[in-house]
Amino acid sequence: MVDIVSAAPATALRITVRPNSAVNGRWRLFVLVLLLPLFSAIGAGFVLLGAWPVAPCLALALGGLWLGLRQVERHAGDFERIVLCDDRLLVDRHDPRHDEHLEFNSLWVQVVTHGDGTLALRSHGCEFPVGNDLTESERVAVGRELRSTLARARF
Amino acid sequence: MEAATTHDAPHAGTHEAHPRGLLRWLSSTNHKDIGTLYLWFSLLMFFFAGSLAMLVRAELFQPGLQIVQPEVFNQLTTMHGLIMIFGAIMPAFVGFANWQVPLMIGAPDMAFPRLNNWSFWLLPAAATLLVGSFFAPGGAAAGGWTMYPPLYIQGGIAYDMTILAIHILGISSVMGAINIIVTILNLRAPGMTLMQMPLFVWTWLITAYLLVAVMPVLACVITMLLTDRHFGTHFFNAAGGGDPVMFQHIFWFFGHPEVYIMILPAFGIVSTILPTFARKPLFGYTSMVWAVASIAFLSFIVWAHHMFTTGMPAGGQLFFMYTTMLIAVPTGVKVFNWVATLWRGALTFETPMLFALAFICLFTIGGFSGLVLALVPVDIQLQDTYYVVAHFHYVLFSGAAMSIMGGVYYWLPKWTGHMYDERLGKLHFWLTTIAFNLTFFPMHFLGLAGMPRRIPDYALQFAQFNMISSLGAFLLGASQLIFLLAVVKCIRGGRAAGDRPWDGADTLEWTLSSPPPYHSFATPPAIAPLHK
Ligand SMILES: [Cu+2]
Repeated sequence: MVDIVSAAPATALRITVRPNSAVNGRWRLFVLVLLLPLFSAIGAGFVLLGAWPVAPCLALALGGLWLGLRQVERHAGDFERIVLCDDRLLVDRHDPRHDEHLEFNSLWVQVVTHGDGTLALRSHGCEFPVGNDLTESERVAVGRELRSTLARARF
Repeated sequence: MEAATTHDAPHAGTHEAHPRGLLRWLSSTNHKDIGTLYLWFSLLMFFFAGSLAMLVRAELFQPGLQIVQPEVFNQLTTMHGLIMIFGAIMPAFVGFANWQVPLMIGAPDMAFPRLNNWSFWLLPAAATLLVGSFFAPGGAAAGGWTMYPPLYIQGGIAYDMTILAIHILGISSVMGAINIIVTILNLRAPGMTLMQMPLFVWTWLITAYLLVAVMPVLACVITMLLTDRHFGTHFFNAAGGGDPVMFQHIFWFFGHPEVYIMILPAFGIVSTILPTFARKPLFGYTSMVWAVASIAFLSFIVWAHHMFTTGMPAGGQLFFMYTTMLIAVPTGVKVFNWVATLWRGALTFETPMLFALAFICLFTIGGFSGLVLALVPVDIQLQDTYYVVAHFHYVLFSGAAMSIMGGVYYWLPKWTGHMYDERLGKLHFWLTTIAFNLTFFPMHFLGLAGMPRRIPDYALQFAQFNMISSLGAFLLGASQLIFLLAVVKCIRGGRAAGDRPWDGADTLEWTLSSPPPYHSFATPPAIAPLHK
């Protein structure tokens, strides 16, 4: 999801990009209350039948689901912020592993749209992808907004 | 360098541009590419397993042995079943999920794109094992798709190849299911609650739960077969104190939910197509969601209806008979809702709509013959006859496969940007529907008259119906070439589809361009020029 704020001077812009995040930790309850009893009942039933190997297989699958949900929860707070302010274009990125801060000269930086629809900032021969958490239509909107504001800022 | 980084070096350079040619498909993490791969893979497997069925029907064209030896015949039926289920129908629905779920919930991609890539590329490996097992000494596995011991304990190397292939397919399905669950739960566009999701997404969410719950059971039971074969265990080996019937319990605990894994997404596709061409919202959305959820729940407590003849206490037979019949209630809710959606709608009959309507009629026939089979005394008569073959082909062909075809016609304009050839589509539809009924309806009579399944030769009194059935099957097989033609023609060109070719369609994917922006940016989009 994306939040685009154009500030009072038409040459300032703040874009905040976050991954869609809809579960808010409630999934834990869901898995524990709904799925764990179901999986345990199935597993226990088969152990009683004498087919004990079913239980660890089920545990693996449930564990995989748990890990997957935990992984997205860890990234729920990720964001990417693009701020255009005077002659600087600042990009801040945050995820659980590291924070990143990039500064571009707004006169030099180019907004590039690739053949696969991904968006990048290019400056001095280097390219930095942005907006990877966006849908294609949002990426188009961000690209358009960045380009037009940069163009205005160059006058 | 002007761009200063305060932390580590930027992790992506100019090589970020996505690869072309073969490498693009091998390494793709894009949900649309992977969806396309799944769909093509499934079509290929559909034709392969379909040609096995053609051989089966050619042998059954007349009584007596003409074309294949009995053991080859059993290999054909076994591999036809396994490949259609695990290679054609399931991957096709996963292909739909890959293409449509992110588009319909407004997500940029699947939650775990790399996992998605692995899930797909496991499939060709498994398919190679299955197809390759025909060349193993003694030929492919011939013990039936249900893999019952003792045959699956006694067979040769082909049985190991089959078991390994099913393992791989199981792992792929579980990974895919986890990916789909996490995507649907977490990556919905802001503001989209669970009860606002398109029904197709709901059916896939529930299907994915079923997959996570039962695929491990299948993986495990075939692992137990493998240890019985090679490592001296006796889970299912009566000679060593094991119990072959326990295999059936475990297998069908997977097997019945598997039926719903193959039909719930079909419900989702039909529930998407009908409102579009009736130009009315789906009738009873909430009850549809609850119906799907209750069908999924009930699917866990009906498995032994496949085992009424194995010697079960009467109490057990009654329990499984009643729970099975109970499934008719939520299924009935769905059928009534579909009909109510059509009621007083502004109906038009494009190809996807025709497939959806045929689905309602023919799937309901399959549902009813399922109710007949649920009755213990009747089932004891009909167990392992052609009545069962008729029943599950009404469910799996006119249910699952025809909804897949309808879904393909429905979304092809979105996927390719071109309209398919409506004349070809209609021709394909009518030939398929007529040929399908010609093939499988007589099987009801054959079964009622007592013709057993899985036999290469039969008594003379079954000759006429078998001949009709075989002729229908050849026509059915041939008409699928029209499907291939229609799809290829649509990909290569045709009238431009526009963003929303169906005026009644209201889900999110139709707000995007056709095709959605992966290919259409091959030339940079016309956005206000930057540099003069
Ligand atoms: Cu069943």
